Amino acid sequence: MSMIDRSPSEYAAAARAWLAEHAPLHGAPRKASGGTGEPPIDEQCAFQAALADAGFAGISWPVEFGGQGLSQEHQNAFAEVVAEFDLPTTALTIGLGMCAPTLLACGSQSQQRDHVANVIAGREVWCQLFSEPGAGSDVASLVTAAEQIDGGSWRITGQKIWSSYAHYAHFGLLLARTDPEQPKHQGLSMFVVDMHDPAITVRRIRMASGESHFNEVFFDGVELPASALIGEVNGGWAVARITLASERVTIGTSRRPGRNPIGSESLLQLACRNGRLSPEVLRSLAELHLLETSVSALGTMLSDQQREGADLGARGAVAKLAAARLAAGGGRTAATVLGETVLGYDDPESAEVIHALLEAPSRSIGGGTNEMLRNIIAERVLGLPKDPGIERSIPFRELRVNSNGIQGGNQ
Amino acid sequence: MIATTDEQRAFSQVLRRFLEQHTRIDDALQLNDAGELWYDPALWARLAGELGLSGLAVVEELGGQGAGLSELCVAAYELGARLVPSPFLPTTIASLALGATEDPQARRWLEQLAGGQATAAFVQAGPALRAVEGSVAGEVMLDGTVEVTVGGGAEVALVVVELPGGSRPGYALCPVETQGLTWSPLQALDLTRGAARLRLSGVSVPVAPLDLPSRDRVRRAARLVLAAERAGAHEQVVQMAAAHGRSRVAFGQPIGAFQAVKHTIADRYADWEISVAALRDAVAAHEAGRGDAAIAAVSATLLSLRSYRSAASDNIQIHGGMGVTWEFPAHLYYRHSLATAAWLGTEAEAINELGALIQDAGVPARTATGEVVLRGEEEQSCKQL
Repeated sequence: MSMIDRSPSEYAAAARAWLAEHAPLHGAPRKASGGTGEPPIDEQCAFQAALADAGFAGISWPVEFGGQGLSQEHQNAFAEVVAEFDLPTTALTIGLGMCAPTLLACGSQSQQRDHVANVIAGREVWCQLFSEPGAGSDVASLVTAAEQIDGGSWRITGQKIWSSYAHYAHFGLLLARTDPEQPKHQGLSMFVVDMHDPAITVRRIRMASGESHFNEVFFDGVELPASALIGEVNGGWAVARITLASERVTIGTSRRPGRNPIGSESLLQLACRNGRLSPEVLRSLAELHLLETSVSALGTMLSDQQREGADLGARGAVAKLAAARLAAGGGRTAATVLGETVLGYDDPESAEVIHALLEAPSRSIGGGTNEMLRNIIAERVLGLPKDPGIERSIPFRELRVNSNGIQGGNQ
Repeated sequence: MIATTDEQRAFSQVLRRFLEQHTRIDDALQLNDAGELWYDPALWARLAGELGLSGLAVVEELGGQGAGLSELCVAAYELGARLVPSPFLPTTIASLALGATEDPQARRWLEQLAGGQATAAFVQAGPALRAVEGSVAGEVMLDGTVEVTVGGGAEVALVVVELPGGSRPGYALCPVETQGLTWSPLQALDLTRGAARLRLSGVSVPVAPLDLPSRDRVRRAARLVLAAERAGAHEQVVQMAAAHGRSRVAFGQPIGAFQAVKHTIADRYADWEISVAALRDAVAAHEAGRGDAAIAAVSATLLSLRSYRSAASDNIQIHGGMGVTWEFPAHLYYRHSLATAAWLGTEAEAINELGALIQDAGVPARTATGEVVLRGEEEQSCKQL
């Protein structure tokens, strides 16, 4: 039977059989490299290639771009199965979850032909180049400049930050300012960038908890051909919204990583082994369990409602907010369980807990700060007015951007 | 939001429309000022007769609707949203309890409750009530006081007692006309559900015995119906606060444009979504008899209890001076949130209960070896991990 004839449930069964043979089960210990807790990049690409060969990648994407051309139901059926496994492809999620969907929605035929199949088959790693040191939550105030030079080419100068896996990436999705005379959202354009350009410098970011997959990326007069533009000149914000919507779907539907060292189950066992299970610790574990229930029950409800055809709109922001509360709660309970042993440690188990504890604050920041999420909920779900502000209407050049007090024109 | 099937959604809409037509959010104020019964018997008669609310939890052969827990939650949610003073919750919980026994007396009362001829109070006996073997077999003799019970004015009080001579639980059935039974109405914190003191002076009444698992199931269902009522009220206070944020203008802006206001409302909205999600999960766990049903129910209880209480008090804050007046209904929700947090188990009890359940679930080795470890002896229970 060919793939195309299979019902979603048959397809899911075939996927489960394949994954059982090739992928680690959810929660199994991982083989890590480079301090980021994930497999080497060539192994990740090889796994993705095998997954694509077996017919389980690019499921609902067009056949002409390397997809399977199957229905959304097939995609959903696969998503349920894949949640039982830990796919060793985290570095590829930016390309698969954000960049390829953006190209499929807004890219030219040749951009789609050149890249989508390669992303599906693990031949191209992608990164996203949106945030800047002076443009985080307010990403539309970015100042990296794209100037048009002879023959329609572009020259890129500026600095990006928080680019996950840019140190592995072959290509990047770049949002840059093409017209500072326009209001800030209207003078931006989106480009495809070859990350191997010698005028690009990638620098790893060291996080409070240690190593990370984040990078800073410097553009020192990088030249891009006219064909690198995605969509219209000054139409980049609309393209970025597609990417960010895909990102929210990717984050919202991704499952928790295997065993969470600051989850209530792990911490209960740690407390037991260390002889620290007191009524106070049990209460703290109960509090943590409530936060875990919040996240899991909300995930179940939202996906049930989506399956029934409800438009979730901005309600996904609630799930992200709940996940941030959970991370903070996990940190609190971990500290309670460790007691004074949090002061110093020499065992790998404590190190793992402390690492997770130090990483917890970033969950309220990355992928939308709690404050931005509350704005989204208030404005888009509850219809409350936008913050008072003038920045949407006046030319970017006259805006105060970048916390050093410089203006949009003085880049 | 609570409804998960088309049938439940239709029921919820019918009920919502009926309540919008026939009730006002501040009905409890009028009833309180009138100083008579805490609910409107005429409205309850219609809710019972036209919408079948009185018999929702009673099986069909006894004249009820034989509805499941999810339908009970749908009804409680809508009544909570409008803060309708009605004997629905105490009567429903009593019906669930009576339905779990095989007692013939219980069947007679269930018919009465389903038909709307009687309402019931569900009473947790405290230490001030003594229960001893009655003079007639199958009866229990009660002597003492239950300081506060929810409801009051009910035709029958279902008193949860430990049966004499053992730890088997049972329900003592105390009809209001029983010699030696006195209801004394109290000033209720929650104006939507009367409160009373119940005095039983050497009263001998029939008792419906119940096994422990059934008692736990009833208790769990009761808490979830109460959580549904809170969730409905929670949605209402968030919508009240949001509406005020959109319309009230200060410093040249609708106040909802200021993040101190909009973020508070957004947080309380997020809490509401979480409460509803946890409740749906707990109801599904209960109906499917899932192994984690007890944990899910306590979790849903705690989440709704705390988040509704915060929402009800933040709603007052956002309304400013208006929020603390008698005429404005914000305090009705605040009162309701405080009262429901103290009924069917307190917050502190629930969090300890959850801790114990988590400990049990997280120590599977204990049941595997069959060794019983007393709680509190942490060291010993931990050795088996």
